[in-house]
Amino acid sequence: MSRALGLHLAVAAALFLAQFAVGDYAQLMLTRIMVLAIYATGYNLLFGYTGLLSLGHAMFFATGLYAAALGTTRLGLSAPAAFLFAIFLGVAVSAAIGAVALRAKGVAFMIVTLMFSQAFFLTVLYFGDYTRGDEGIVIADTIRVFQFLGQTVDLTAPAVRYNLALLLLALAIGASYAAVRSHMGHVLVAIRENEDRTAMLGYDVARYKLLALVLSGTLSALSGATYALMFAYAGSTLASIQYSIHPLLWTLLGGAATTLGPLLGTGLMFTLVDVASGLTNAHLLVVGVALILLVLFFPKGILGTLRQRWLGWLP
Amino acid sequence: MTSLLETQGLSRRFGGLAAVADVDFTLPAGEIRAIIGPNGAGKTTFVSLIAGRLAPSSGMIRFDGEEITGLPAFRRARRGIAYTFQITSIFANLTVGENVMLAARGGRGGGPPPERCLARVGLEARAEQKAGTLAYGHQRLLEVAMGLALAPRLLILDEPTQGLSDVEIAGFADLVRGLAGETTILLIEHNMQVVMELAQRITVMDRGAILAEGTPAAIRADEAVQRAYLGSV
Repeated sequence: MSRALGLHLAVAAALFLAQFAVGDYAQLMLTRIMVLAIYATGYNLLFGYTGLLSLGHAMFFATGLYAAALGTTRLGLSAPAAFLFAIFLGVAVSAAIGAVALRAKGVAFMIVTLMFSQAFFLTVLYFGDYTRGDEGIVIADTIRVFQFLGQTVDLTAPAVRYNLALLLLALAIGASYAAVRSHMGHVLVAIRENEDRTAMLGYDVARYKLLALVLSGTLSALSGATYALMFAYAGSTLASIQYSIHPLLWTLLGGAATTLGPLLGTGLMFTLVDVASGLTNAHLLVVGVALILLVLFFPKGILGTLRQRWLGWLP
Repeated sequence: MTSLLETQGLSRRFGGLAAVADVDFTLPAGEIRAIIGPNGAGKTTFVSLIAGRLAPSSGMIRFDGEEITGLPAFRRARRGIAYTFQITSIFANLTVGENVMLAARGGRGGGPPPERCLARVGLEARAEQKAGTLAYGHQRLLEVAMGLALAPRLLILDEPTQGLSDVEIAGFADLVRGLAGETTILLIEHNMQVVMELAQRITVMDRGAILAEGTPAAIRADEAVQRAYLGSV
């Protein structure tokens, strides 16, 4: 077994054991971190590995979020069906957006994704009768207890949520680990480093970029759907620009183009905000200072810098 | 001999400037052809049009008997046109082996195995190394190994010896000579010694047009060429 695979399994084992060691509050926070780390992992596939900086990923996250919330409350879907519906919409929306947005490059791509995402956000507010705007949709507890493969799954139970989140996160990171080590992963990195050159080696760069965006957008939607079903809430704040910036910050903090960086970054940022808001009202100031220190001492994110200096084998 | 590459009336304008103007060019299969000319003569623009990195303003390009004028770059690469960049552009964060593997699995396929390509340029011992940590001369050799892995029918080398030491240049010239017969080579080069040594024929460009074409000896003797370019040589 390689060191890299061992590390991934050790992280999964540590997260599994953590639930027995922490209190209720920390367990809920870890659940939230793991669900959002799926989002960051998806973001990292596009940003870290393919080199495409999107400022509009909240629309993919919110696609999953609202597909699950509206699917269960309006369309009468069961929770698992709504979850699949959300993933299907995640694929469809990211493919459609990608087909248009990927015609732009660099800064233009950032702006186009930002605009699409803002349009999505405003659409959510416009159809406030259905989405209930920033007040949000609350999913009833009865919907969150469901039968799956003959088992009763109770998403209102903290332990169930925790382990389900861990399972989905493990699948997401596993998929990302497999993808970046594959030939496709190498092509994505090649596109990041030199798009022209990659095309001259005979690769259909546009197709690979679309593939990366669809994978990334679908993982984001999966995270959004999980969030809605687990925490029983879907509000427009979760579709706002802030939620497009979050995965970027988490990925940068943990280390872009590292498989575990997004998880580490998400965890650290949550912990930091939590600790800082216990100390002062100006917790954003503390977060800001932390980010400046990060840029100064860990310019490639924590795992990215560790890999560069000492641990060359980190994937 | 059949021609592998042919252009008719090929032009590319940037605003008011005709970087390549109405070029008719024919390259027979199996030849090593050098393109020379003063800075700004349009050499790189011309080969970029052939490789598909730039779209022509007008004119036609035919490769192996089929028109490729409108094809995107990656489709031309799959038909066997390889282009090595003027500026070294390997993938720094991938290993040497991964770089060559990318080339071997791109292109038109059926090229020699990646290990053999690396061995041919003498980099086989460095396959696991990150490409960005190679010395400059070795990076250029990696470029060539990637070119070989593509198994190109037309290999375009844009200033391959730029920045290399004399010893490295000699090694590079041997490498290109070894390729003759396997593939057709289009070489943009400023080092006249390399050009005279390697090229079977030379095309001289000046201000976007072809000024002269002929064997190295004929080009050396051509007065117009001397005036435009060679100067005191």
